[in-house]
Amino acid sequence: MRRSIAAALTALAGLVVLVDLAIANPALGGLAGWLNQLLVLLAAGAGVAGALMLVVRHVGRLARREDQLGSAAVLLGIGLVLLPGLAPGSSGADAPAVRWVVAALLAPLVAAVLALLFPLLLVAAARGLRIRPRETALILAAAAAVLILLLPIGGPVGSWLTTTAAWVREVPIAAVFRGLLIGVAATGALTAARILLGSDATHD
Amino acid sequence: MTESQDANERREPPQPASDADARESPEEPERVETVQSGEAATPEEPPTPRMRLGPGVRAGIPSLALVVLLAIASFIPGIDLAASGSDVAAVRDLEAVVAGLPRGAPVLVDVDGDLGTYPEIRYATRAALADLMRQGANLAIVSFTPEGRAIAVAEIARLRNLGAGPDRLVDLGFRSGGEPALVQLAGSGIGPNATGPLADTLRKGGVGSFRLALVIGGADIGPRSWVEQVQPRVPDLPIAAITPSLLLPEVLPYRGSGQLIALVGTLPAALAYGRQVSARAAGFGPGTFTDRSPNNGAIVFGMLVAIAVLLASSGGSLAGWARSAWRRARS
Repeated sequence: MRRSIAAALTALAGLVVLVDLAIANPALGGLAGWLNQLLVLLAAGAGVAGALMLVVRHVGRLARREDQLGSAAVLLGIGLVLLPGLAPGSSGADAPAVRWVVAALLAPLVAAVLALLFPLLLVAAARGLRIRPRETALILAAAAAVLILLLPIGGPVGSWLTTTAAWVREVPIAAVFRGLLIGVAATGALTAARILLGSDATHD
Repeated sequence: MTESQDANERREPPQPASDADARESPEEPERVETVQSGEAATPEEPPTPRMRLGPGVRAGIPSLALVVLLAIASFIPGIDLAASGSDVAAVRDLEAVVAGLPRGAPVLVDVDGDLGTYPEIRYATRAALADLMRQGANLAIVSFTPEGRAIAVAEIARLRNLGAGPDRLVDLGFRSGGEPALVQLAGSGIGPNATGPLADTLRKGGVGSFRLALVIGGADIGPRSWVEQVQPRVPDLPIAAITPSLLLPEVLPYRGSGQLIALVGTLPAALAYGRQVSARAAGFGPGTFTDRSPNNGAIVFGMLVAIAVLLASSGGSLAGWARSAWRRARS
């Protein structure tokens, strides 16, 4: 019974939003807008709940003396962003202190984490070469080939490389990516249909 | 992997290690290696100790060398990232879109880049904002992701410092909720929070009064979200985008279909666009564009290192595989 009510509500909400896109009706538009607003509130609530859970979890770990350095770093980071923004008289995200934290700490740290992607890929490749040498070597060679195509060499060779790089990006890579997107969309639609029809065993 | 060291030792009796093994053995004392030959060292000639670096230091040497070489490479002049035909066309599209805006046209700018990939598009983003300001457009800046908001706050502060007042630039702030918030903006307009003369005008006109939406995209909210969520609700709003190259495979079809009227997504295109804007930028005010372009020498050197590492790690395996395949075919 509980499962049927949840499935029916989900189906109804989905249908209202879907039909609102197809039919111009003020009442239906208002209802779809209200549902959307509810979704925005839910997302904001989920964000706040997530942050609170993070704090509770890491305070608990500190209390239990587990991974104290990591937990202290997480709590310090949260405090560094939240306290200047929530302080009395502060203008929130626009506050100079928050802007400084973002520009001087957060942005360089995130960029550094992204920059670690290449060495991490190399470590993964080294493991891949031990486990599946041929496939991994092929992937690495393909990556090297793409990089070679992107090299800024002048003259006719450079022009050919640039044109080929654009073709590789716009035809084979785009085709594979579109295939992936279509696959993801089909799987998503299938999962949504199973939830809406109440035939998903995990939807309880 | 799952067997213990003891189990291996029980199964196989210890073998006398060769010289090479002895050199590579991890159990060898690492700090000081004394000369051990057949002849004993005389008291007059004490064995010369050779310091061996620890594993952490040894691992750090290549990184340090790379940083030093990148720094040196950044001083090499005359290296340019060549723009392909599609890059040139992308630059032309964005220039035409901006040039086609009448003076005072309201433009909605969605800044939702990721902090990690934003450095790739920062140059093009600032060039586009400067070009819009020089053209006389009025900007309303909004964000739907926290990282995008952080970037937007910095860009708004920069434009304000350059002299963009509340009649030219309005901050629509951060809207939580991701794509539902995007739908809300498309349906309900800019909302009551924004203040100033430009905000009042935009509030009356609704989202349909914008002449252009410029999307600075990221992984969460980008051109795809705008095409899917905003375009069906506000079909007359043209959408242009600047994205990191990571997102290109996802958004290129939208440019091909005309749902995006302009798309700058590669570093060569961004550099070419920045150069064009720099050449015609205003002398002062928010339309100035004096940003330094990314250093091509360091980028190219980094690419060469990456190619060398990738080929060195994969070349041996591929050559061995090709050799064995060739032998099998011959036999």
